[in-house]
Amino acid sequence: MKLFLVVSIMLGLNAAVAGEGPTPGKPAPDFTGVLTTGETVTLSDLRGKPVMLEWTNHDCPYVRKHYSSGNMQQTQRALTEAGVIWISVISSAPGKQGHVTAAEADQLSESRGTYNDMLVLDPSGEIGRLYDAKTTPQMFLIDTEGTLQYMGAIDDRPSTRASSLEGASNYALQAWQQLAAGEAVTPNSTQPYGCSVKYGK
Amino acid sequence: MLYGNNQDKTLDYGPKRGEEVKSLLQGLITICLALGLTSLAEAKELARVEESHSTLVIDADMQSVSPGQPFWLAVTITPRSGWHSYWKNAGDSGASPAFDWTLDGDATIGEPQFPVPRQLPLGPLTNYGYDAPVTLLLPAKAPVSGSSLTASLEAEWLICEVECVPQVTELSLTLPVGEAKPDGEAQAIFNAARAAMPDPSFWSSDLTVGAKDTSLTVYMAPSEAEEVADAYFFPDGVGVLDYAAAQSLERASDGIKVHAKRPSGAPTAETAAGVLLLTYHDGTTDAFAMEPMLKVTADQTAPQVAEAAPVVSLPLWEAAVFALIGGVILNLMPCVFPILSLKAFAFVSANYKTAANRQKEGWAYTLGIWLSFMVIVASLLVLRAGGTAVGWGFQLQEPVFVGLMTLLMLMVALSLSGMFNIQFGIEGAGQSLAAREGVRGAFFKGILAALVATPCTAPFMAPAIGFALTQPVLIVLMVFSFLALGLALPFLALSYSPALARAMPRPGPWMEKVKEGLAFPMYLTAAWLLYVFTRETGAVAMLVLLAAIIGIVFAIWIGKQSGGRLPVRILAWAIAAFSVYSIISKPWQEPAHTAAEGYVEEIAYSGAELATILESGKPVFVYFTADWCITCKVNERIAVLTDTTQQVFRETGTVVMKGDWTNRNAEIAAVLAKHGRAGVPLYLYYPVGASAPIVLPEILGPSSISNLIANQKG
Repeated sequence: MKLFLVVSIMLGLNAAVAGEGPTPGKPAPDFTGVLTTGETVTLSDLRGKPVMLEWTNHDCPYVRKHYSSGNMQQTQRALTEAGVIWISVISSAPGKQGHVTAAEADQLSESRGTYNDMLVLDPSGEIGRLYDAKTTPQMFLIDTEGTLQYMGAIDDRPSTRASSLEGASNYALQAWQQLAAGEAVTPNSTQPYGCSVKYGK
Repeated sequence: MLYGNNQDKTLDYGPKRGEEVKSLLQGLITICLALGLTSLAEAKELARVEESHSTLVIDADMQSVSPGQPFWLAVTITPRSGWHSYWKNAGDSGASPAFDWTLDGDATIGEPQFPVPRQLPLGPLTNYGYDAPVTLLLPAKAPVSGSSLTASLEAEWLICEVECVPQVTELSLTLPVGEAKPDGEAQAIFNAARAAMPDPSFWSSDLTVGAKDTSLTVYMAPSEAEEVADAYFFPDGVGVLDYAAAQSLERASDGIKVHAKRPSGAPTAETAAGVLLLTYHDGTTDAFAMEPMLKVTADQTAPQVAEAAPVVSLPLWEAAVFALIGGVILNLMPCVFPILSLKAFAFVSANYKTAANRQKEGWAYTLGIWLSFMVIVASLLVLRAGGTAVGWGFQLQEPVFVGLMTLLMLMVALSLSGMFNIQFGIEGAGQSLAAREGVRGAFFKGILAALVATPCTAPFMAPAIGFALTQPVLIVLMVFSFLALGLALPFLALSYSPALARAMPRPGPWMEKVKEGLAFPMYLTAAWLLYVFTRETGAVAMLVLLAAIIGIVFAIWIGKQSGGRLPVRILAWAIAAFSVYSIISKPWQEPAHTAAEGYVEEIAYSGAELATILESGKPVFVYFTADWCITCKVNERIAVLTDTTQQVFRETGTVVMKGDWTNRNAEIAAVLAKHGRAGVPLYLYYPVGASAPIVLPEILGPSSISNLIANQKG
């Protein structure tokens, strides 16, 4: 009886801590996504490797700035060559801007010369909502332990002009460099800029 | 009510009115503005750019300015119908207009001032901006010398409907400098723009930004507060609140409070400034530019990480020094010291071998200890790799880890205080090997020292192990090597200097006292970890952890009463296991499945709704609960929000209704009274066609509900 009482109290102490969105310093929400190849990837399976998530939409002018200037590809290359798993995520719903089929997505990667490791198609917006992704581009850096280390904008220039890249602080790259050097990531959260993620209803 | 022109008076800021009214109003606004712009068209424009989705026009309030004098520029952006531009804080997406001026001489053009924005909802997101023409005002100053002001502008502004089109232009404008001559025609534009700006606020205010919510307190007289029907705060800066979430108004004795949610991962708020939009009972609105005092409560994102930083950034040499000191202290423990003493006596005895031999033995002993420690390190690393694979986070940001470390530290402290002894039963294993003499014997004696010492070293190893779990491999190796060296150091020193041996204190009761005294730093460590844990989780989780700790202490106490009786020992182990489980299962988190797919959607309880559903011929399960009701939460966890029960609900088409009694509610009170209950929980099941519900007991088992439903069907 005593034990039962203890059990009840323990279980009863669940008193609701409301579900919260992604938070730097806390475990990144786990997800399973479908790749353009039809295979799936589960974030928790990648433990032991750092992971960068990039929300993207090829028709968004802000995304275009980073790809047509080569800035995104350079960032991808720098990180993936250092062992980071780079996952691009497309959360555009069918019929909305940026929605692509697997074949179109592969063709886009090909034509733009991307260095990402995987491209996850998320037309239901499930992963996007899980991460509370608001804009394209928007970045999330996750460390080898699965802890979210950075979330927010790719850099500090909310502009579509390629000239704005000159002298910009690339937050995503900086976050990785700080993480790799064992330093605390600062800033670890910035307000993302760009087009809204084109979620369905 | 302070808006000077017709257009703004008709602007509908409130989210409450119907969509049709809104679009009608928007049509009216467009017509009014079209008329207004036609009448203003005579004003001399400094520049006009027609872009793909909008028009940008620049006006000045002067036809010519006197040298060095301030004046104003107006930038009017007119988007295509149905499209919008953005405020200085664009909200969830979008971008504020950017103006990059290049000016000759000492002329200046300042940052734009924005009129009161609107909330523009877009799916799950909300933007702040203008779905109508907007005029921004820019303060400017004429050059002291020269006959004209020449400015070139690179402008970028974003126009969106759902998709976005950036508008980019480069232009230059010139304004004569000489005798001051106001532009009479342009005055209407500036008057209208000024009227649309927020008014200065005379109230003092403060903005409290927490991890998950933010509240703005505006101190005003009760009579003023009473007039306010609704309020909305547009923050100038990032990280203040969740743009898409509703804000709520609270009237307090000293003014009003506006409450808003905040995403927990948002950037750190750096400014509290913003625009407060008040709606009065008569339907009029008024907007105020606020400069509240910013109060950031410490548990925002950035400080959380900083909190863990001191541990992670312990310099390498410091960690090494601590490990070495720790190792030396181990020699004082009651189980190690006698070994050391014996050897010391042996060394002191005059004829004991040559100096070279003694030194060899010293090093062999050191090697033995070091190797034993490396075995511990290897198993730790394996444990860590395995743990990481199954998703354990060995870091101080992981509350479960911190919780278990708190528990461990407390156990260590209690053990040092003498409540119980840690024994592994392997202490005698190396005895025969160590009994050998010479160098080989010394090597095994080293291993033995590491083994035999476990009852007293374990308490000290625990912090080192905990530390090691959070660190890179190299640091772990180093720390343990220094710990080993520290443990071996006195023996090594003795082997070099027999003189030291004479100075050694004799073993005695003082060793127990030293051990007991060393418990106190451990208690402090536990206190610090508890603090970290509480900061990461909250008061409820702290209570869970404290209860678990008391559970373990209780289990140890029970175990000590057992006197070898098996049932009592099993009970003790069960309590201990349950206490540890209560931490690992993270019970302070909302059950993960509240939002899970496939769970039957709950309807808030109302008598009328219930009657309608019953008439439609569906069975209904109603549960009455409250956030503060522990029994309710236990029942929900065990019996209601479980896969099995939810599946039964789904299969039988049972409608689930939830009556929330967290705050008093007359309707629910009546239902409770009807069933003879003074409070929650109350569980009712209405089978199809039944006139009265079946009342379930107050305490439910895992299959209470599914059995009941199955019986009804059968």
